[in-house]
Amino acid sequence: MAAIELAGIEKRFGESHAVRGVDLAIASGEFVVILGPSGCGKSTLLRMIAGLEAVSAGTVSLDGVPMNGVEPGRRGCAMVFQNYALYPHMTVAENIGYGLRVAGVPKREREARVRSTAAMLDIETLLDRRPAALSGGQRQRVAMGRAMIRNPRVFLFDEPLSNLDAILRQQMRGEIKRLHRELRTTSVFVTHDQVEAMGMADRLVVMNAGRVEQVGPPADVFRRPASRFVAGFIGAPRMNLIDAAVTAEGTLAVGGWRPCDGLRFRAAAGRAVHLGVRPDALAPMPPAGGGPVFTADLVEDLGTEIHVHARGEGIDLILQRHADAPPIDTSFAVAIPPRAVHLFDAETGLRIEPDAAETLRQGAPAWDARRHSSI
Amino acid sequence: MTNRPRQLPVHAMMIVLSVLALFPVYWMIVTALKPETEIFSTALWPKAPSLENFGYVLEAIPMLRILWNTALMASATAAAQVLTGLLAAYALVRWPFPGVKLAQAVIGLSWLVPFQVTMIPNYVLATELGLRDTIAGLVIPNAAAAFAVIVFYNAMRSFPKEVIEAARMDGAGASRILWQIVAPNMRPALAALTVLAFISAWNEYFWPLLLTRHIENAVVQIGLEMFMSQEGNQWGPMMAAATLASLPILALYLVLHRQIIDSFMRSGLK
Repeated sequence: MAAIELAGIEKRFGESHAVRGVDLAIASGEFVVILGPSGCGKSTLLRMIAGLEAVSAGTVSLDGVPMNGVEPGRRGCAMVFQNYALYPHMTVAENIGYGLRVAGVPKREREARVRSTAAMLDIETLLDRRPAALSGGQRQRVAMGRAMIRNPRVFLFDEPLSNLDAILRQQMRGEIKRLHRELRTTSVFVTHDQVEAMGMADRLVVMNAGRVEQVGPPADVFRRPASRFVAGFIGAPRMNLIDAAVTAEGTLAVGGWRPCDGLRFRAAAGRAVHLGVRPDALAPMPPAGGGPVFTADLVEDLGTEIHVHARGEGIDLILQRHADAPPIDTSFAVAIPPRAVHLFDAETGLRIEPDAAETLRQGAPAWDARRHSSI
Repeated sequence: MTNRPRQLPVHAMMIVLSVLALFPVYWMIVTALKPETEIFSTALWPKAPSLENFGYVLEAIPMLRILWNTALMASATAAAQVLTGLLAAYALVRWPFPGVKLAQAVIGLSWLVPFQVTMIPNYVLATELGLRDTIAGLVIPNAAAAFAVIVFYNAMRSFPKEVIEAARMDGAGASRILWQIVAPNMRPALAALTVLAFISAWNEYFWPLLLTRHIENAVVQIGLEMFMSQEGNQWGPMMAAATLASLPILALYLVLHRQIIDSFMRSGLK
């Protein structure tokens, strides 16, 4: 187990700037998930920790020891690759034991360790097979075994589940977490799948365009996204983002509509902002009182929940409703509960918090869930 | 097996082509079995077949010694070409540098340089190094081949990069990765290249002709030449010697033909 420290990490590939100044400290034993869209630099960052990619600037340290220029095999990291990267000409046992063979571990000890690793992963019966004769899930386990057998200080996972089908993915997710609970090895897991990320992470790192957008426990990142990007990226269906402006009084204006009038923001009057509301927080209500009237355009029934895509006065919204909620009218207005409001500066994309004291003084009505959800 | 009638013309065509390919080999063997009186007869089988030509060959030249020389020379050449090809291709694939395309192009172009251009400088060099009339002198100028580099380069480029990275994570160094991870997965290319290099070295004539001084240091193509003289060619003994010369190649092909065909099929399907 080792603590990882990244300081001012940069990576350039010729003209393109893949990673732009990442600072990140990962505690020993932590399970950190790096989440981001493809091309955001998350895999590159992982590969720089592994040593497979040289850093253009900055320092990678393990337990305080700088690792720049240290060969991948000498860093004490083990990696699980997206397409498993098993040695095609070796049996499962040889694949798992190869790292020990390179390290010069005597054959007898090697075989014993291969067997005990295989037992942990439930692949003892496959030891004599070659990778070509294995299913995707079995290959995944072999790749895990190859990483585990060396008792690495750090586990690095590069989208290891993305080639598996949904059921297997869920199962492996649970198994990786279980193994982490047993071994307590510092783990860095890269994925573009937010369900994977939310479910597995002790701490989530959201990346975009080579930068870290937000770091924190998954629940915090979900509840208080630090930027418009994070708000739009995390959560399915994605957060509704409505173009709005801050009025002179610090309230929000969407054209002539004044949603959540009780909230006050300390921002310059006329400042362009994005008003974010999660689809499950939007409550439909009978059209009245000047707000835009929305028309349901597409209704998706997913069994456990219903997604309503609606349009009105140039605004596109998605509402998420319980499967057993009463059917929605074709025309409706929406109420935005103040507590569900996320506000982001249109220019910088950064979160703007409501002015708590001002809001309180104005006597914002407490949001009554019952009132809104029973329409 | 299905659709027999439609496959019939295909098979007929293949039979005709096979006969065309095999006939010269058959004629070589038949001529070797003919006594001198029958040598110019066009009959498909000699009236009085005999092995006297083979006996004559073994007496006239040190045929076994020559075959041994040739086998040694061809194996060494094939091994050297495989080794240099693997190393060069591995370097080009794993550590691409600015201008790697140019380097490849230059290597490819060296394939087009005719032997006549390099023959005199090579001869001078070989003489100065004291390699005239030696097996080493026959092998060294052919120890690296552009063809081998190109074949291995293409085979390695399609080898998954992650597997090499996995080996690096496992602590393997560059040469261990080449010999334990990459090369074992190049089996079809290795087999095909070994055979092609071996055969082309076996058939080498002009360079050995330049370099060889004594018949006991000669290779088999020079041995064949012994039966061609200004007074006329000794066809019977020459064909007997040619038959003896082609047996090892035939044996090699029988052993490796599965890999060779596999490799050609794969490169064709890509």
